[in-house]
Amino acid sequence: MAAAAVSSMPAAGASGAKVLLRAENAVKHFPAGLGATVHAVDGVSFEIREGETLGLVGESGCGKSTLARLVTQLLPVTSGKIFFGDVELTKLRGEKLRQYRRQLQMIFQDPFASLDPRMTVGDIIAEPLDNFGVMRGRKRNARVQELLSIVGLNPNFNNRYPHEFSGGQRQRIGIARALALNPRLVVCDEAISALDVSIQAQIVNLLEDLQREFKLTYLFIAHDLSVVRHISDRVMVMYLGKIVEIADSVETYASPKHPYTKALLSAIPVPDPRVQRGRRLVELTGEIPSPIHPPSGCRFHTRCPIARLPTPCAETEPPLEEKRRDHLAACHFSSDV
Amino acid sequence: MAATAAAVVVRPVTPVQASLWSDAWRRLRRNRLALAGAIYLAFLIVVALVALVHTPYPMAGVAVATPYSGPSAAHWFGADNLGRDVFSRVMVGAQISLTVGIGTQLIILAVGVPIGLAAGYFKGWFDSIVSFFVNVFYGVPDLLVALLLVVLLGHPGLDKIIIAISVTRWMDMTRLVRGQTLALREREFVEAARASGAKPFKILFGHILPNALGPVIVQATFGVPAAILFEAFLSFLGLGVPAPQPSWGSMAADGLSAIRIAPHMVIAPSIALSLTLMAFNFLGDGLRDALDPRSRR
Amino acid sequence: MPTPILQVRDLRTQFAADGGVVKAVDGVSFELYPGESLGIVGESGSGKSMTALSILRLVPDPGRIVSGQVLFRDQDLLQLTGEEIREIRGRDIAMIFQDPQSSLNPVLRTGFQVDEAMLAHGRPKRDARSRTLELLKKVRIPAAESRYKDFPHQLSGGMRQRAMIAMGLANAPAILIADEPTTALDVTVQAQILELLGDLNRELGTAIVMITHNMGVVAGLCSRVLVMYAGEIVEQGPVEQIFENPQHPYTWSLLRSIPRVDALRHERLRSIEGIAPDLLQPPSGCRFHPRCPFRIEKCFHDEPRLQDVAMGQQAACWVMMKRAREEMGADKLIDIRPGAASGVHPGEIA
Repeated sequence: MAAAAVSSMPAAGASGAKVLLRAENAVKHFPAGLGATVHAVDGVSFEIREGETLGLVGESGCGKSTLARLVTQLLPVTSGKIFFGDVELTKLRGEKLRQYRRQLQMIFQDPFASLDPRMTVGDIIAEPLDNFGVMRGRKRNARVQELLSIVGLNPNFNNRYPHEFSGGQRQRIGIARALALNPRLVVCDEAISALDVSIQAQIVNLLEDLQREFKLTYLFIAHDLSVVRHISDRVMVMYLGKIVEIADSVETYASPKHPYTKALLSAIPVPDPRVQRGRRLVELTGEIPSPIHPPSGCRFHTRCPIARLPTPCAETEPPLEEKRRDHLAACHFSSDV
Repeated sequence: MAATAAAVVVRPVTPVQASLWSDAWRRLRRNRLALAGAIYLAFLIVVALVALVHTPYPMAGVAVATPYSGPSAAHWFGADNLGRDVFSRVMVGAQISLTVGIGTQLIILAVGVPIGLAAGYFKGWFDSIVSFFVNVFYGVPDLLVALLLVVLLGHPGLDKIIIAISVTRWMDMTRLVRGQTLALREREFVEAARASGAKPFKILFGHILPNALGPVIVQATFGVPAAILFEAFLSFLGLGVPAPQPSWGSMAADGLSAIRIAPHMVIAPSIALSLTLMAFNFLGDGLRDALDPRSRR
Repeated sequence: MPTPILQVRDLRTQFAADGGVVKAVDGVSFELYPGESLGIVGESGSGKSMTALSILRLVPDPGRIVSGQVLFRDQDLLQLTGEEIREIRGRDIAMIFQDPQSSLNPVLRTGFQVDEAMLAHGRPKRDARSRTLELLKKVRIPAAESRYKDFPHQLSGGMRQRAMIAMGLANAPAILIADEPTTALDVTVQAQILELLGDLNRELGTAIVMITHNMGVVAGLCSRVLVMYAGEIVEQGPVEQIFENPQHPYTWSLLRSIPRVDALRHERLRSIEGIAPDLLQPPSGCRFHPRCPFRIEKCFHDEPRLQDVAMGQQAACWVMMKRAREEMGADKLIDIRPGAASGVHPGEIA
């Protein structure tokens, strides 16, 4: 493990890799009262390839957390399909869907809210095992201890309660719970956003080690593009319920094909004063529009520095299409970015 | 992997191992008023239990003392208009008050907790029906409902009173549990339980109920004195337990006509009632502080 | 060297807790020069926010400033009466917070609140409104006239923070303390606010104290930086030097624990092992020693003081990164466990 301290950027999952999860035009609308509708996720299609880390970034209100819940089917889709392997998850209900949760686990944002305060750490980690009646008695407890040491905690902590642990330790507990059933896909929803910088690094490294060890596939969601780029093979950028770009993470930075991605990249401060002072901010005008009344045409046209108005940007919605090999973007003028 | 594990083994922040319940117990013990209330109530329960098998004088025995005689060494709380021993009757009254108080809360818990959980978790039409009935029952005066029920159920008795009080007081608990459930079902740990494949039954009784239990216990603790007071009030109006069963309420009512010559007939049951109400309220306050430290101050 | 506008000397702020006393700020001393932009970085519990709040005596209960001096224009702010410190707040030293939502009164119009900030310090009522509009324009709030009449909830997070900055600037203060002003905002909005703060610092000459956990924010905005850990300053100096040649192992590790958006190779992040210290029982000696790969025996029992390591740069460490590099091979280090580079483990300490 130590030898891997410096390695080359992981190669993008070749297009030939097996697709583990696929979303087809997935839509989630929420009623917002008075007949209004929040277009939280508004027709997204993408795939997650076996063994890769797909990063998902976007600012607040872009729909990334809702998308995480559609992928894990904690929320039903309004329309569209989600396939896990060859199985259409969106068709399954009740017990059949529940059985798929074994393979689809989730790590949550808030390490303080995501653990039941009345349960011991051992019971929390064993909950997935108990829910599927996988192991009982001594075998179950041995598995709990094994999981604790896998995530770097003392195996004898199983009788303690969550409030006795720090944020980083609690997140390790949440990771152990997600791993209990040997899932194939783990959705990390802002799993490190609530942690201190030095602890974030611990958890990112842990997630990378676990992926290698257990051949996991991640959907890694965060608002911090630098962390997402670091951990992901491919990066997917969302804006107002739509995917605007999907590309290899090196390419995302080197040659973004959507003006929003470019603006997002330019806005992230680099912890190096000499570099940071030379960088130019792509300033976005205005505010993120409301997902209740998303703009016509390209949803980004109200803030876009290169938009041509009104035609075509305010009238025609640009499709998410391949601009280069394995590099998708939804922009009429991606060559101008 | 073992190397990674060894590299990051870290100590927990606090050395003591404690559940939230034992934490709450520690905080409760530090609250002197709550503790005094609890001790008084324990004593009252003992008195009520003793009264089951033994009272200094038969509680219905007339002319064991001079009617209206004041407190004396033989009759600590004096005697009533029929020459019955007031102390013995207060002891039996404790039985009645505690039975009514705890009995109503048990019924209310049995009704309010499952209904509130189901309404809050499943929402939809069931929740609408529950909310409708809760509002209807809040709308009608509880005294009127209780009077009607006592009359309609016929043959006055302790069980009728408990039912009548429960019918007028179940809404608070239902509404509380419903609200707690609505809030808790959106919490991340409940979502995490769903994501890990927990069935609704496990989510309701394994995650939501244990986390709602604190406020439920507090509510039930405050519900006991309210029910006791209501029973005393009904008995005072003559709609309570049938004579010669002594209720603190009916004893006070009996004494009221003779308050000038025998004030002890009113004072003894009233003090017993007040102390009991106070004890439950102090205990309830203490429990609230202990179970939810954030609500303090 | 110009005269400092603010001098903090041996500041100590403590909180009474269940099991004893939390030393949130423990002997912090620094200077702020007119017109400069000073960053205070640290993780949660490092004492960075408490240091800022202590300067204006805004420490929340049950916290208490137990000793030290905060000298502003030759007067010790810690010795002033309540009335006098209220005069200083907002007029000479303004502060903006992480959450503009809770800092603005929800039932009053935004512009009116900026007016109030001026009137509170005796400015004539006549020109308050026109000056407010000018300020709203200065913080780049579009359509200032109509925003003036908006209630805070009608503004976005970024706009509210701009309004807060406008309030802060209402009386042309000498110092603006910004406590994590962009943490709650999206990155694109954060970038705009940072740019605004930088411009205001240059144009108005207002000295800025930027409290943040984000090294990138410091790199872009500040000229000097203090690094805090467990209630103490462990390193301070000019931003370029601190980022290029940090001498404290904590600063060094922290900089290597952050992924960079401009990274072209995937390098494993250099995390800092262990957890933040319990301030009820801070570690003996150097407070970073339980997590430090370069610790030596001395670190366990002797507390290091800040000492000069380069022009204007000071660090509090018995080893310093210069030695860690030369003697312990810090740059090539892979094992980052406490004591790994120096080979000093607790069992071996006499």
